[in-house]
Amino acid sequence: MTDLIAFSCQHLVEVVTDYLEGGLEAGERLAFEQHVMACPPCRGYLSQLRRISTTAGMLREEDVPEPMRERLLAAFRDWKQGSNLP
Amino acid sequence: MNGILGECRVTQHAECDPVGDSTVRAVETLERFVVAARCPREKCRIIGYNRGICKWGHVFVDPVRPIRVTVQRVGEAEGRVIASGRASEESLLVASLRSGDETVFVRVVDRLTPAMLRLARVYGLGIDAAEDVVQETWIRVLGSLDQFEGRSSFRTWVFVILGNCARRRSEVESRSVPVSSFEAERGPSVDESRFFPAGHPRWAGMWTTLVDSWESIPDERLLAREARERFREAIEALPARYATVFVLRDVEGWSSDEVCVLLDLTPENQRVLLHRARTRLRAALEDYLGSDRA
Repeated sequence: MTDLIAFSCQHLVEVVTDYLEGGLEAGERLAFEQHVMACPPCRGYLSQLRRISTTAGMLREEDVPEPMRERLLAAFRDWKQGSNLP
Repeated sequence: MNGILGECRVTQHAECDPVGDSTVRAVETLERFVVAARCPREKCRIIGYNRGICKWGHVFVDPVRPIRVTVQRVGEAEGRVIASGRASEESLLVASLRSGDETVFVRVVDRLTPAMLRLARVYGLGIDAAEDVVQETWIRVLGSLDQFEGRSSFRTWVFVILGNCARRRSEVESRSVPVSSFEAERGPSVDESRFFPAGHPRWAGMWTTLVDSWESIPDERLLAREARERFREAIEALPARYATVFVLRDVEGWSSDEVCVLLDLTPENQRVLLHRARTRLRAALEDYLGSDRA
């Protein structure tokens, strides 16, 4: 319980990205993990930040708008012609 | 027009080079690729390397098989393979673009353009202006392929050019989002009212409320059109530097090293920007996601 007090929830929310990015010192990392295990709201908070990050990865749009693709291809052909490539 | 295609270490060179670790490089010249290496004591010479012929008759280093270098010692009848290595995928990509390979161009455009458009928007540009900027970037990329030296990744190099074009354009349109010095912006990640005050005898700094876990929210709910719209709006409302780091790291999946190189950030500052972006997005989505959960 002492650890939980030393590592307040208010502190945890400031270092959560450091934790996720592997930027915490070993001791602080341990304190972070102990706190999260003992503290349901912080577990919730950690899950929220993780979810923000993973959901963002699913937002990727893979398609290039077709008219743009055509313009780029035309630009490429112009460039090729200008550089006297075969 | 020189670019290093790939390199391999000569390790079986002991007879003529006691140090034995000269580097052999496959070098691209205007017309063909040659392997450039010199025997320090001029006791042997390179007589060949594996190569292929492209459809336009250019000689190229086979991208699939490793580069193999064959040398012949002075006075010996036969050459032998003394080194092999692999050309990097990136240098081959650049070489293919230089040679005018349209298929490769389309592939690389499809791969990078969506992220480029998203990033151009971060500079405060509208959709049309963003498309213009991305097109301008590609034209510049093609025009300066010869200057690509492989010191950064190809992707980073393209995005540096994009950043320059987008900045210039947003200045012209005077829509430039002021890039504030982020060190000056301080503020808690979560509103202070959510925690017991520092003077509280028992619960100082602890949450006063429950915090929902988002683990059980199904992907379909987060990826539904409305939720995506909210997410996108929230990203666009971020300060430009936060949004840039967030888009590259979490949307596009770049490594922190790449982002640091592109934006000239220290790893610590990169983490601060990422942290602020994520916490603001969390706050922006909290009410929405909490509002109608079963």
